[in-house]
Amino acid sequence: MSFVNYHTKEINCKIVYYGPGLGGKTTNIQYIYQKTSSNNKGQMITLNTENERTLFFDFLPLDLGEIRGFKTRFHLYTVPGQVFYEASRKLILRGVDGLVFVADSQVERMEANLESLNGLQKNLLDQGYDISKVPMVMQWNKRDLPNIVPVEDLQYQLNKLKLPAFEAVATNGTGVFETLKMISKSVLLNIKGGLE
Amino acid sequence: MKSVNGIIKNIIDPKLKSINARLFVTRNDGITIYDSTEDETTSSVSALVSGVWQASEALMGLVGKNNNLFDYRLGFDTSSEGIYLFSFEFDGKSYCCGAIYKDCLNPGLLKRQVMMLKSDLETIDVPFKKNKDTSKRDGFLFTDITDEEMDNLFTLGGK
Repeated sequence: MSFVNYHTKEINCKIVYYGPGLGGKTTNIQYIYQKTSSNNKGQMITLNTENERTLFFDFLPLDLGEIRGFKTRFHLYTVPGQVFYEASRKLILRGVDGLVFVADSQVERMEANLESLNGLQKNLLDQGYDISKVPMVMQWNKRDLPNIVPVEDLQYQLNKLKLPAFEAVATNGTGVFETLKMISKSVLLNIKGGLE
Repeated sequence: MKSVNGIIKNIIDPKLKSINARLFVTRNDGITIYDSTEDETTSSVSALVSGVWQASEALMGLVGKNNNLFDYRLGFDTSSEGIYLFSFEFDGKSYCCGAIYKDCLNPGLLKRQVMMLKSDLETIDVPFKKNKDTSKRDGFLFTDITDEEMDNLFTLGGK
């Protein structure tokens, strides 16, 4: 749940990158970290296994600037994608304000995408969230690879809620900031609490 | 009306003279409420503390679901340095408070002082509720945000 401090005029929001293992969640965050000026980012935290897979979460705090007098601070998290880290994924969803579902476009990863999306729905429900009410953006990642599912099929199979969706190649930054910008806007528009 | 941050700051700041440690309070979603040493590590400390605490809660939930999690403390320490955490409830929400200390001659005393801080933090609930007025904050904070405003926000980010 976002935190608005009316006295210091600060907004804090939590955005979680969710999706199957090796789909590119960490790569998204790393690209954002590389391309953000040092004045606007904090320390990036990665809790990895020995072979560079996410063990608990990645974390990147971003201080972007002001919107209508409010300082905006986004906390970006990724979840571990591997199936057996379900308990960790559930914890990281606590207090989530917005979600980016990073799908792997490769044909052989469609089943993993569906499994992850179903898991997300269940985990959100366990935390008291309705997936249709949480701001969310879909990202079709790895569009540069040869054996990929057409976007229409991804939309049909994974985007029943007709959420905003972006094609991406996170390794070179394509679609990364477009995705972040869209989820940030959705999250800001969803913050409860009118101006005094 | 004071903010949650302001009320907690007023309680902890006077204790800093006697408690020789970095003191902080974070929400369970990792958002910083207070940090006596505000610097570039503040957000990271909050995110990690929140993760550690939640993982520990989940672990205890596996073995004893009826336990009151507000009674727990969490320590990761040597005989002279470490981190000491506890949770408390304020205005119906749970927070994690902790101390990070180094070169401490008497960690036992420090932990005792930190636990006394917990008592102080737990007793601020009632006056805060009396002063709370959110009647003017119904609905959404922003009814519309233009693409230009979002572009400006991200230009500042260095993209």
